[in-house]
Amino acid sequence: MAEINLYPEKQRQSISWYKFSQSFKTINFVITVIFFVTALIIVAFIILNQNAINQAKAEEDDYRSRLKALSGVEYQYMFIKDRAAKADEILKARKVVKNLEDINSIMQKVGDVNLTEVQLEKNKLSITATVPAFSSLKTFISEIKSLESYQKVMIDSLSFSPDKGYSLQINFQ
Amino acid sequence: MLTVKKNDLGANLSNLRANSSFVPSLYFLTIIVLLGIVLKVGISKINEQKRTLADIKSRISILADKEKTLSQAKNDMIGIFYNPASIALPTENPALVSFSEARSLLNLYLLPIDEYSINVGGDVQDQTVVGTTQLQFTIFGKMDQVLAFLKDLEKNSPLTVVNKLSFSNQKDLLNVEISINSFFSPFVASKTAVDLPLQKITESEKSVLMDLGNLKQPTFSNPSPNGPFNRENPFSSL
Repeated sequence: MAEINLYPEKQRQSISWYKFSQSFKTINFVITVIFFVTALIIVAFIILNQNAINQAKAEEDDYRSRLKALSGVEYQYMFIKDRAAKADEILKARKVVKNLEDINSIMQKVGDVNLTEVQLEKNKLSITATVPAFSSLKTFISEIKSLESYQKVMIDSLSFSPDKGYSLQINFQ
Repeated sequence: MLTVKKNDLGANLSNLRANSSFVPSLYFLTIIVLLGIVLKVGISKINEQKRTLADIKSRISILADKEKTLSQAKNDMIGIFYNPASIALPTENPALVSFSEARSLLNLYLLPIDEYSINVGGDVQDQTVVGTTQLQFTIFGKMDQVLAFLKDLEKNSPLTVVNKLSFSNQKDLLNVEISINSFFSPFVASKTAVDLPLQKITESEKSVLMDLGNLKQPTFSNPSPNGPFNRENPFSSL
């Protein structure tokens, strides 16, 4: 049987409009599905993250309570750290005994040097000595120059008398 | 009988087209807007949660590290070093202990002490400052004796530093004036916030603590108590 279209030609629903409305329906369906899936995924993420946060908070509280029990140990730990840092500074200031040891070893090396007066500080040394022979004086001065604790050596006075030999005063800085 | 005018038919068809495109368009727009809102709100919420979680995790890692360090330190370091460190550099002025140690050593090395003075110094409140007590004394002896005494003195606890030394030679004996500093520093229990990481003891600090541990501890004697005695009741005869 032949199809009869009663609409006038220009008012008839066009095929392109029909196709467009069909694809619009499909797009709407797809986008609805996307919306729900996205919403579902986001809600799932939020729930999972919230669970993770709750677990992490419980773990944190657990650590806090354990650290509270260790507060005495923490005090002692900080105390010994504080003492170590301060003791380190104090120990670095120890130089006088080491320098005295050096002077003593020089005295033993040279032999006939007589130290009449010595003043020793952390960064300062003053020696007054008598040396009977020139060879000993030479050795004494060359040995004393090799002292590493001081940067500057000054012979303040040097005199000679036939009875005592050489008298000298040396300052180290 | 149904009669449809040509123009009416056209207008209805146009309305029908408009209606059939308006509702899906509105739906489409609504869904797109909702999707946008859900994405924006959801993602910002997730990001916020991630930040919170990252914060908590970083705090947990600090706390875990702190707990591990303190637990380890409790078992080894503190047990070994706490007492030696607190004696070597006490919180209160160690003038008497230092002088007593020096006196004992002088006796040990048979060095007679001529005169002495103790400059106790002021009270120190600030825990960043190291207070100093100065001991000055004059001794007589041979160089070897004096040197051995001074070396031993620096091996004793509390920490001492020979600050100044001068000697003159008098017939093989040295007349030695010695100035010694001993130290103290108060320590206020200012605990760090729990969330702040613990400043760990470094290797160099550990080696200093070992040095402090190797110092000879002062000898304290505990005198036996003089009593209690049984006392008679003074009212018993009444």
